[in-house]
Amino acid sequence: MRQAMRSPFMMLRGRGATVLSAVLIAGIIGVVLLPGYRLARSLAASNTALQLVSEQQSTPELLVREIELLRDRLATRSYVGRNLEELRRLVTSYDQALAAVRASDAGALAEVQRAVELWARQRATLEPLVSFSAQPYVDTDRGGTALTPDGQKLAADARKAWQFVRANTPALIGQFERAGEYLRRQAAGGADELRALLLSGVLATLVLFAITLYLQLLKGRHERAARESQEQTRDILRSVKEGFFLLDADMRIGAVWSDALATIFQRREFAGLAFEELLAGLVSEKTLQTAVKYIGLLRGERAQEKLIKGINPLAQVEVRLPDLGAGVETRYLEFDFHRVSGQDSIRYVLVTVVDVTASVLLARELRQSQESGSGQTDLLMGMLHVDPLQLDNFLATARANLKVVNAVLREPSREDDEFRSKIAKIFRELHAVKGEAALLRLGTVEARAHAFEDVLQELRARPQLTGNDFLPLLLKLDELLAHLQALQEMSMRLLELRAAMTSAAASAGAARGEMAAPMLTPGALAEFADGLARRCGKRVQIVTEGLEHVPPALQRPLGEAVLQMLRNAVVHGIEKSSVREAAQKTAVGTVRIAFGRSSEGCSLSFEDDGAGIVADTLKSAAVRKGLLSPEEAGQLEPRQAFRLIFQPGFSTQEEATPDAGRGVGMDLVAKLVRELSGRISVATRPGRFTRFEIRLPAAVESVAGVA
Amino acid sequence: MPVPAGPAMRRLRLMIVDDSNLIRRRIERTQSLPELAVVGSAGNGEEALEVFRRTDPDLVTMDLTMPEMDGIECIAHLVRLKPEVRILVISALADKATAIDAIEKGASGFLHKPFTDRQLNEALLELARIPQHA
Amino acid sequence: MLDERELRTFVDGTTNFFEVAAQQPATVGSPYLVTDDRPGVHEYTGIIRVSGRRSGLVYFTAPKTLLTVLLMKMQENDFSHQTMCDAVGEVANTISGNARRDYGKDFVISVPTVVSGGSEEFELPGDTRPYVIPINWRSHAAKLVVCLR
Repeated sequence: MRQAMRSPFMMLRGRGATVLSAVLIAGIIGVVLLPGYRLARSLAASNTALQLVSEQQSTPELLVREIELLRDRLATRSYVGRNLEELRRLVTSYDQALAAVRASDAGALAEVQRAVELWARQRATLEPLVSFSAQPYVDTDRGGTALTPDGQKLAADARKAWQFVRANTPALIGQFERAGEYLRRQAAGGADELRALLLSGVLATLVLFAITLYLQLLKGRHERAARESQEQTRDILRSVKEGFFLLDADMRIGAVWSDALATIFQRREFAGLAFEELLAGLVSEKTLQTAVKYIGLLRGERAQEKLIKGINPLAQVEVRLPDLGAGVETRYLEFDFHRVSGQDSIRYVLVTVVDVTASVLLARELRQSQESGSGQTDLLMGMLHVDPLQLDNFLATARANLKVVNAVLREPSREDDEFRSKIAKIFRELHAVKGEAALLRLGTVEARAHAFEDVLQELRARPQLTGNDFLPLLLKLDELLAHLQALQEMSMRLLELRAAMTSAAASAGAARGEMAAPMLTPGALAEFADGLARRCGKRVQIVTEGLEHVPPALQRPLGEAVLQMLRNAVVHGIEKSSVREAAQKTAVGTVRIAFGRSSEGCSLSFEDDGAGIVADTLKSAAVRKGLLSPEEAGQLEPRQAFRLIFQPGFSTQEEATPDAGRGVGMDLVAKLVRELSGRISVATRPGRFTRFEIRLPAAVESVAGVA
Repeated sequence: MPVPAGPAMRRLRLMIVDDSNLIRRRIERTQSLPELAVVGSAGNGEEALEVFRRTDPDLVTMDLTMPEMDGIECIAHLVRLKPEVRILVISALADKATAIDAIEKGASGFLHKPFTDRQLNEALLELARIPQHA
Repeated sequence: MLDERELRTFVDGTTNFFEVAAQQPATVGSPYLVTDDRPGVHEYTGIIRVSGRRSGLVYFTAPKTLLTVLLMKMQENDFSHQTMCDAVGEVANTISGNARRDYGKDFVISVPTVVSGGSEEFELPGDTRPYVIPINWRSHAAKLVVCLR
């Protein structure tokens, strides 16, 4: 806002020059023009008087001569009319001349006053002559032409006047000459003065002209400077990326704003626009009210700008603005407010607006890419092709892997190498999950495990590791667990749906003499057992019997039970090939699964030719886990000891591996059987076999689907 | 910057309002301002009013979340009692609308908890330099 | 599920407190989930409750020994029960303030409450796996538990 700030120095000089020229003009008028006028007037009067004085210089002598002529004429009785007339003329013109002199500057002179007095007396003696109007002569018989009494008197008056005038004339002339002298001097002085005055007037005018010229120049320079700064301001406002404007006391936008504002707000006119109008509809009413309050605080003088910066409610806001088309788009704006103080109060609030949409969106995209593919549909589509039993098996295994991950995380650590060895352990577990997911083409799980691995890779590359670096692992782990949980739920629903569909199909099929496709298929079980055995470094074959007779309603519960028993058999029962061969057994272990129906219900028999169960091993595991006291364990019959494996949380596996049931093995089977109102029994012979028998009552077949 | 108006060398009187003794003592220990004297402290709004009437402070630090009477209400009361008092809100409550309410009620600034001694000093200095209002 | 930024808000609020108030940063230990148990508490626990976009609670729990050293570092010489409660409450306060600053419009955050004596009589929201973030400060261990959904 440079243009608004004209240099105070320049302003002072400009104002000074104006004052100076006004003083000069007044001076010229007061000192030159008025006295000049007065002087010129008095000069003119003096000149007239001087002229009259020089003209009337000879008049007194002419008067004497004229009176002499009159007396001669009267003596000779000749015509006197002409003489009298001439006398009158002379007296009148002298009267006038004297009046003029009296009116002039010389009027106050002693000489002039004496001349006036003298003349007044002469005038008195001349008066009878001037005013004579009678007949001076009369014709008589005796003496011919004789003087009338009037004539006689005239002659007497003429003699008297002659004597007086002749005596006084030199004095009168003298006085007049002196007055003339004075007037001449006066005129010469006046002319000098007038010349001086005129000269100073010319000078003053010249000065005035110079000042005017200077002011004009100054003004030109100011205007140029103002224009320049205005252009620069314009350039700045045109090119800055930030939106700038000032808010006045009424929270209205001032006359100047940066062009970026138009781009940011998608509108062209801002002058006089209220701030609330600008933001109305863009931000929530509550935010707007808070912002208006905040600006109010800035306008007030109580709050300290620095101390309230942190609570600017528009520091970053989401706004909805019309886009280039007809639609609306969400943008993110950052507002900054500054006080602009005037001389004694806060005049404006300077507002800066920046569009930070790009950076906000980038940050958000990064976040979202980590969560992508978490939709339910994706989930469903991703698992539809997987056999439910395999899926179930996978989920249990994966959960176990992740449990190991969490156990690894939980070990307290502070040092870098401790964190590093954790990464290696976690990596192993995750890799197993990822590999299994890839095998089953469970893309959503694989992607998550992969992202998890990526984080681990990235951490591995860091020079120094702390718990802070592990926070993302926690989130990834939680996310993966949540995802597995979602898959589990989805799988349950899917199984229920399939059960419902197969039972519907079965009844429809029964009517048509067809069999529904059973879910507990030898193929699926063999595949599952193979995978499991491979991971354990064992070999196993599955022999099945009558599985095609499993009623649809029992597919799920029996499927799950078989799966658990199969896992148990492979992990705990079947020995490694080398061990088997040393014990004179076939290198490949065998699991037999047989389903049969009778009038009392149905039964499922599950038998492996593995190591069997040793009662003492079970007892000591139970003691170690605190399920039994050593005394109780000692008193336990072998048959009772075998039942320990149906206890919740019981597992004999020493080291946690992904496939080891971690205590959710046979207890789960026992629970499933209980839910079906069935019974489970176990028979075993160390080194030879383990056999489970499940018996279910007949009635259960129809209700199991609902249970 | 000169010390705000007042008799020469008059120390500014400070009252601390916070329900945590810990914070109270930390502010009390602030050595930055030789012209500052702690004249009282209170643990809730009610108590603050009582101490305020008794000690007539120039500056107040105020927590917002307290039992009995909350900080915002207390600020309004204090300003009514003494319009020229300067109040610094010191709170972990960083919700802007609430902070703005506090400033609107007459506080002069906001300091976010936790704070370093330096931040506290700077904020108190900043508070002390606001010119007095009649 | 929490995102990393949200979790960091709570963790940073905690470590920040130690750095600022005691001039000695706390470090974060190896974080883990609690899947079938309660996360556990030390002698003093400052709890804030969260509702809104997320709901549940966040607490900071520390043993008396840690708090004693903390108070010493803060040049405090009163080690009474009340001051211990104040200290742990102040940490919770800071965490809640940080959260308000970052998520003020999404979260509603309560004023902290303090429980002591290892009492764990507060309810955790069901169906969540609490996050346990061990906080190591000097030779002492405390923990931050984030349990939100």
